[in-house]
Amino acid sequence: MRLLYQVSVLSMLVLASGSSVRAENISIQGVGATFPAPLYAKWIFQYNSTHANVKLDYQALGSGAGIKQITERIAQFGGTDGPMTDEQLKDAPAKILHIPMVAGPEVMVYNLPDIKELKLSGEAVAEIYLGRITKWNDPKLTALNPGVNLPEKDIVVAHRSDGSGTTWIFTNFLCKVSPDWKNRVKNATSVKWPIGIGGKGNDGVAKVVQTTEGGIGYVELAYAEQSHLQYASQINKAGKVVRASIDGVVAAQKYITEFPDDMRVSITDEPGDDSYPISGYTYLLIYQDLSYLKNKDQVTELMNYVNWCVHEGQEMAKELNFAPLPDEVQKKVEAELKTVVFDGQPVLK
Amino acid sequence: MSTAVVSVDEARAKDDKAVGSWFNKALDRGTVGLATAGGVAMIVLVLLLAGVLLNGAFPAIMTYGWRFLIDSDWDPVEMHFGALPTIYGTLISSFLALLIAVPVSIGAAVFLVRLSPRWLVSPASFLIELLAAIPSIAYGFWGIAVLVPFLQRTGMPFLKATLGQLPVVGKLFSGPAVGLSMLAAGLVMAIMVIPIITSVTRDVLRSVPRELEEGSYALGASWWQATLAVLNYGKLGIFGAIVLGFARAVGETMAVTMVIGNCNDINFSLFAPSQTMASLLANEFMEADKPVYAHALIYIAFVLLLLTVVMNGLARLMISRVMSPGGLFHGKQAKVSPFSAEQKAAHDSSGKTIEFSKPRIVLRHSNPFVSGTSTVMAVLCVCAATLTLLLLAAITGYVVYQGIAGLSIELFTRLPGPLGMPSGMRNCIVGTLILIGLGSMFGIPLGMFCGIYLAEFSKGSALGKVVRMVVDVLAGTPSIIVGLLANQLIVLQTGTPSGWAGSAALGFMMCPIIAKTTEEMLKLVPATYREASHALAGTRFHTLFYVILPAASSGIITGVMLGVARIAGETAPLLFTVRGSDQDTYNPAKPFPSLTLQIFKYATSAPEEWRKQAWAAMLLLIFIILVLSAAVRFASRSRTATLA
Repeated sequence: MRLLYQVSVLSMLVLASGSSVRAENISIQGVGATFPAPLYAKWIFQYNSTHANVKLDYQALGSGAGIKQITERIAQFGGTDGPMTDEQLKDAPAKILHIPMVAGPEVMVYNLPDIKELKLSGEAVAEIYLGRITKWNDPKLTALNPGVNLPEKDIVVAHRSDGSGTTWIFTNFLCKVSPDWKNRVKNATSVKWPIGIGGKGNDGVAKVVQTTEGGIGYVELAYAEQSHLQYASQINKAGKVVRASIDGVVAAQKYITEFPDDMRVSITDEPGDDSYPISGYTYLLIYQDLSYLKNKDQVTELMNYVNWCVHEGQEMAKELNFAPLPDEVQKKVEAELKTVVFDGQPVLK
Repeated sequence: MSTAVVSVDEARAKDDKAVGSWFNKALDRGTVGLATAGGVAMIVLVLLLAGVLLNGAFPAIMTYGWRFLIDSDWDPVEMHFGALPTIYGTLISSFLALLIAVPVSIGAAVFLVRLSPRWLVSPASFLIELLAAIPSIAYGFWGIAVLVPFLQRTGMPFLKATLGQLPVVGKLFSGPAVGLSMLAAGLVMAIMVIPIITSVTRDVLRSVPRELEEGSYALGASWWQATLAVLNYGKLGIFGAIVLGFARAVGETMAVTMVIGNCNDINFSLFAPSQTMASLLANEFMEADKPVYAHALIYIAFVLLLLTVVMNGLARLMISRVMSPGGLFHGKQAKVSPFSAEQKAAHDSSGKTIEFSKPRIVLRHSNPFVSGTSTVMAVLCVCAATLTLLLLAAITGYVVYQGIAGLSIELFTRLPGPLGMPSGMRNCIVGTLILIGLGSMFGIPLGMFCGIYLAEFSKGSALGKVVRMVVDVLAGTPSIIVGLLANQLIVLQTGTPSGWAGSAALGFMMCPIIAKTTEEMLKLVPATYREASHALAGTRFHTLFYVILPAASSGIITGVMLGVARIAGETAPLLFTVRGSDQDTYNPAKPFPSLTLQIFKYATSAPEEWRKQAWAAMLLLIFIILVLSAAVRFASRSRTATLA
């Protein structure tokens, strides 16, 4: 009994100390995509080092969770790579803004220890994910990789088990290159997979491929680098072989001549010799009217942070192989951020 | 005991009318009222559970009806939902687990009761119970780190080359050797249910009357023939133990989610990835953005709850038929308790020694075939027990090995951060301790009052019976469903995941454990204590708080620690409720950091650095749980000594 008493007193003490810390700090929570999570973690780490009183927290639970929690106003900001659908926007209690943060490439990671170089076309990827190409030495794959001795191994397909913007970008790409995919599976944050093993988050997919010989999966480039996984070069719309890189994403971005006002855009399978075909923007989701948060300091700090990300933060993006926003997009974002209000007043001047 | 208690109560009933100040009467009423409230609270919790799930699932039940259960299509794009793939995955993986676990468990239990040298019984039982104390997430992590690669490289190719060649059965072992699969899930769950089936079977075997065994030997039976007679006698109870294991497997979440491959398809091959009802909830409930989607998931949760309740009810019924007085046989029998009379006897070194050990020597028999069978079966039982202990050693050994390699001072001093920067889990460690503390503040008083009510005031009343049944239902509720309940009741109402919601879920989890041990411990306090207290004009309040509770205190502390150890490793109830945080913000009204959530996140990620941290954190978590379990063992020993 005494022990019990001590335990509860102790926990009360810890609690009390915890809440006293809270009084001075401003905490801001975000939830969403795992695609930009390596960069977001770095941004937050960096931002905290100069703004110690702002307790920023980003939980990478998937774009599906990001969209859900911003719609339900559980998190102060959401993260997604698959833009919200019209229907989802309509379900939200107020107007939600899509703020593009950076763009990044997705790569097909694979686990074949002896194969150092692999080329894949969009059709081949679609066939693999439709379950029609099941062996690594399938004629369609060997034709793409002359001189490479592909093993007679089963292909193990890895995909996401949670709702994911990475999946949105990937299925968006597959819809463009494969009519069958467009008819059967479609483009969404979670789909009914014809085949494969589900992993939670970009990390989960990387993990499945890492542990499974013969595995293939789609992850954001930073995850392939972090996990030391090999990834394939892609044959783009122009028929050229491109390796995933910032330049490939930048090249693809150029073909969006008219960036839409609501920022929802897809840059997969763009023309051009240098364009990397599987890439996309990642978005921060916030309400245009932040009055509902009721805390002016919190709102100000949130907007300061977002503003910092689209300016100072952009340089850091390159270190992790994310492409910074093109100038004209950045201008658009600046204008958009200025429309965010609290109690009728714009938050950023 | 029962007659004595009744007479005290009768005396009390008279006294209540005659003597006592209004103050003492009020105190008495308050005591009884509070305890009864604890019991009634359990009923309310179960009704709440059923009501909330039914309410959440109702739109889906109206839309899909019972056809939901046989619809094999789970399509979040078209918003068309059917539960068959997950029901299939749940049942097959659980059956697979039982197929492996049942022979091993029964073998190990026979070893513990009928073969083991005396000095080994207690430590071996303790070690097997430790297997039950290791958190689900540790099994899952071990599964992806050790079992899955093994299956992929060695296990599956071997099965494919041997069993895979057979007609029909071969289909079960076909397809690519992926590792993450139904087979992996079945194996991990088998290891997880072995301790449950073993310990209940052991208790059942112990409660079989000695006359049966003695009679068998007298009729010239060999050791194995006598054992068969004993097993046959206790078969209903053993079957109950198996069903109990099945119910546990059906509700298992984290370990399965980590190794089953998460694929909503029905595939005959055990090598193919699959999905269970619990793992589907863990994977998809967080992002079910459309109401239809969420309703369908809650429908699945409701089906899962029904399944486990029915299974648990059935199991308890069968076990109690064998073990309770007036059941299958009469006479005073042992309770399902770690402090059964037999075990006490095993502790003391006098008297019963000869009676216990003598018949065990009869492994030889005049008929060499019969004698041979005996020897073979005895060896198999020894193997089963050894295998169980080896598994424990392999798993804990691996965690310790990896954990020590990953331990660093940063784990305790830093916050989670980006890859490549020094980072740790400071906030998660503190967060988990606070969550356990808060959960205990809900769970311990509620559980204890309920236990006190059951032991002291229910007196075979209808309410008492209902409360006891309800406590069993709660004990068998899958933890993911408890999380779902807290999400529906607290997170959705307050609009944010929070430490409160998480600790409420944890408190809920520990309630039935504490209620049950408290009841058992109070019943062990001799009736003479109550009589003496009453004779000295002690009121109910005095008797309870100054006589009975102190006498049973170390036993109750045991229950409390068991409960705390149980919730310390829980992950599934926290998934939807606390959500996790990378900052040291400990406001229970806000999203909260948790060690188990962080381990889950890192364990399923690819970077080496995070895996290292996850192993170190796992070691820390298991260390906490083992210390608690060892303390339980110690406390229960000294308790047995005082009461003996």
